[in-house]
Amino acid sequence: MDKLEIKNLHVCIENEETKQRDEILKGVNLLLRTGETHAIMGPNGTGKSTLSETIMGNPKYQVTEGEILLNGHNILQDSVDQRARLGLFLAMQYPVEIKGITNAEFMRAAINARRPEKSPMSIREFLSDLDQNLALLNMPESMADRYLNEGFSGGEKKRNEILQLMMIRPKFAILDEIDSGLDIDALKVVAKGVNTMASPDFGTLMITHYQRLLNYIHPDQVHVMMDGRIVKTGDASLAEKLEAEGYAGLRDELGIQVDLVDDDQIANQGGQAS
Amino acid sequence: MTTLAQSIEMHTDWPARLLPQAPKWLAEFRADSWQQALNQQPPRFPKIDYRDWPLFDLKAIPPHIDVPGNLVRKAQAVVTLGRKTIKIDLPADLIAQGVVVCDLEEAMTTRAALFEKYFRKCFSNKAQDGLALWQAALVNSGLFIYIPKNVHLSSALKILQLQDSRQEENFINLMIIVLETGAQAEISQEVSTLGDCANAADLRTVIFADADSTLTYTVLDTLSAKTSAHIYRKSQLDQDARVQSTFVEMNQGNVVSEFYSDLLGSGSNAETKVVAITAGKQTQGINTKITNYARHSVGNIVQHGVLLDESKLVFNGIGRIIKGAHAAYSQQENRLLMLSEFVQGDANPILLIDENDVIAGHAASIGQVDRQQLYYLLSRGLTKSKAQSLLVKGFLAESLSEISDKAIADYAIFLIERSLFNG
Repeated sequence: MDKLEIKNLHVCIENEETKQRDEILKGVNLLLRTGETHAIMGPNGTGKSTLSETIMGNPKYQVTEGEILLNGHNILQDSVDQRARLGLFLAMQYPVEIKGITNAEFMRAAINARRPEKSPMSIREFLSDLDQNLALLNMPESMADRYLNEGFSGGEKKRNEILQLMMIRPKFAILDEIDSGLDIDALKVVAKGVNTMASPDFGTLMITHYQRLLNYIHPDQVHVMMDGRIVKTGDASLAEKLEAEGYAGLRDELGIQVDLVDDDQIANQGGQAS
Repeated sequence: MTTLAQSIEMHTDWPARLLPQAPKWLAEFRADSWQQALNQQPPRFPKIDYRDWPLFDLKAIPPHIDVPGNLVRKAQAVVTLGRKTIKIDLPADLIAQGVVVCDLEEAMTTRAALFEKYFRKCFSNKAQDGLALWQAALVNSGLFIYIPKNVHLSSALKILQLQDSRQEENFINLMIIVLETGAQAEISQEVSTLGDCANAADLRTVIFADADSTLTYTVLDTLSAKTSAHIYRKSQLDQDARVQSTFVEMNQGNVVSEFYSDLLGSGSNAETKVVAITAGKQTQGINTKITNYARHSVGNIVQHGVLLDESKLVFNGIGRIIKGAHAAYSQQENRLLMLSEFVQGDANPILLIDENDVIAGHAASIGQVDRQQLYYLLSRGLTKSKAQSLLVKGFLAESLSEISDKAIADYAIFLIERSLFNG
C-alpha cells in the first residue's frame, strides 16, 4: 500500500496585477492511500485546483509551509517530471493543445519515461493497450494519430486525460474537475474509465463542484474545502447533504467567516485560484 | 582570410586551373566573370554579416585521393565526392526517354549545346553580384539534370553530394535542373562533408521549370563545423509550373543562404519551406525570396528555426510583387524558437509590393518554449530534455511532415534529437 500525505500545507500565488502574494491554502491536511477514492468538494475560489497543481509541482504555486509526503518521502524538492515518475498523475482542468506531437507518440514517450532506457514498451504491446482503452472510452482510433488535444472539443480533452491515465497507470490520480463541461453520456464514459483503474494499487483524488460525479465514481471519503482548509470530512452522504443544502448552510453551521465567491469573479481571475 | 578582390588579384589564372578541360566558350566565360568580379562586391543581406568568413580563400588544387569503397554502396542513385563522380545509376527506361543525369564534365562534351544554353542562363543576369561571378568563374564540380518534355519520373531521384574535406580543397558546385514542358520529377539531395579540414563551400542550384512542369525538391544540408559556406538555390517558373522546395539546414558551420524563386509565368506556384537548427557558436543567415512577375502567380514561404547554445539564426523572408502581376499571391511565415538565453534570432518579413489587386501577408514570431506546454509534458513524466525535443519536433512538424523522402525526414529528426540531447 502506498500513501500520499499532505501535512499543514500553505501555498501562495503571486497576483499578476498587484504583484502581491496571496495565500490560497492555509494549512491543508489529507491522507490518501492506494485502494481509496477521495473527493474534495467546495465552492469556487477555495483552493481546490491550487491543491492539485501544488501536489503535481506547478511552478506557479509556492509552498510556504508544510509538506507533501509520498510513502514518507517529501516530494516538495522533486521536479514535476520526477513526481510524475514517482507515481503521481494530474488530469488537468484545462489540458493544453500541442501541435505537431501526436497523441500516440506522446503517450509512448510518457510510458517509456517510466521504464529503463534499454527496455521500452514494444509497439505491439502499446498498440494493443491503446486500442483497448480507446474502445472503452468510446474514442475513435483516429484520436491516437491526432495532434495532442489540438482541436479537441471540451469532452474529447477530458476523455483524452483519462486515456492517458489508463495508459500510464500511476499510483495516484488527481482528477481536477474532470466532470466540467461533460454531458451525462460523456460523464458516464469518463467514470467508466476511472472505475476500471480501481485496484488496491491505485488511489484517486477527485476535485469537483458537483455531487453528480460521485453518483458514478463512489468515494470512500468526501472532504469539503473552504477558505484554503479542509473544514469537514465524511462519507458519500456528506456530498448528498451539500447538494441539498448548499455550501452556505455548511459554512453557517461551522461558523466560518468567508464570502463565497461567485462564478463571475472567478472568471475574472482566469479561474486560477478556483 | 582573403577578400574577393584580393583573391582575384592573387589567382588570376584560377578559372582555367580549376577546370582545365573547359571548352573554349566556357573558358572565356569564366575568365570574363573573374575580371568582372574584381569590380563587384559580395551582396549585403539584412542582419547577416559574413564579411569575416573565409569564403574566398583559394586552396592549392590537390590531387584526387582514394575514394572510400562504401560510397558506391550508398542508397542514392547519384553519389559525388568533391570533384569526383562516384556513381550515377539511372534506370534504363529513363535513359530511353531522354532523361539526362551527368556531371558537368560529361555535360560539356556529350551534351555541349544543351549545357551551354543552360549554363549561360544560370549566370545571365546583367547585374551580377560578386558571389555569382565567383561561382561562374570557379565552379569545379556539379551535376546536369535534364528531364525532357512530358516525361514523368516515377520515383524520386536521390542524390548524395559530399564535400571532400579530407584535404584542403575548394568545393564550388553547380547543379542545373531542367524540366521541360509538362515534365514531373521529385529530386531529393543530401549535401554533407567528409573529413575534418577547414574548407569553404559554394553550392549553387538553378532550376528551370518550363510550362506545366512540376518539381518537388528536397535538400538536407549537413555541412561540417569547419565548413564556411554560401548556398544559392534558385528556380525560374514558367506558366503554371509548380516547384515545391524544402531546405533542411542542419549545417554546423557558418552558412549564408539565398533561396529564390522567380514566378515568371502566369499561374506559376512556388512554395519554399525552410527548417533550420543552429547550435554552438555558429551563424546561419537565410534569405528566402519569391518574386511574383506574373499574373495569378502564387508564392508561399514557410521558415521555422530552432536556436541552441550561443548560435545566431536570421530568417529574411522577402515577398516581392512586380507591377503588372495582377491577382498575385504572396504569403510568408517566419518563426524562431529559442532554447537558450544566449542565442540571437532574427525573423524579418519583408513585403515589396508594386501592384494593387494582390493578396499578400506575413506572420512572424520569436519565442521560447511555451511554459504551459512544457509543464503538461513534464506532468506526464517526460524528462525536460525529452519534453523539449518533442516540442521542437512539434514546432518543426508542419515542415518536416510533408517531406516525401522519408529517409531524409527521419534523418533530419534524428539530427534534431541529437543536437538537443547534446545541449
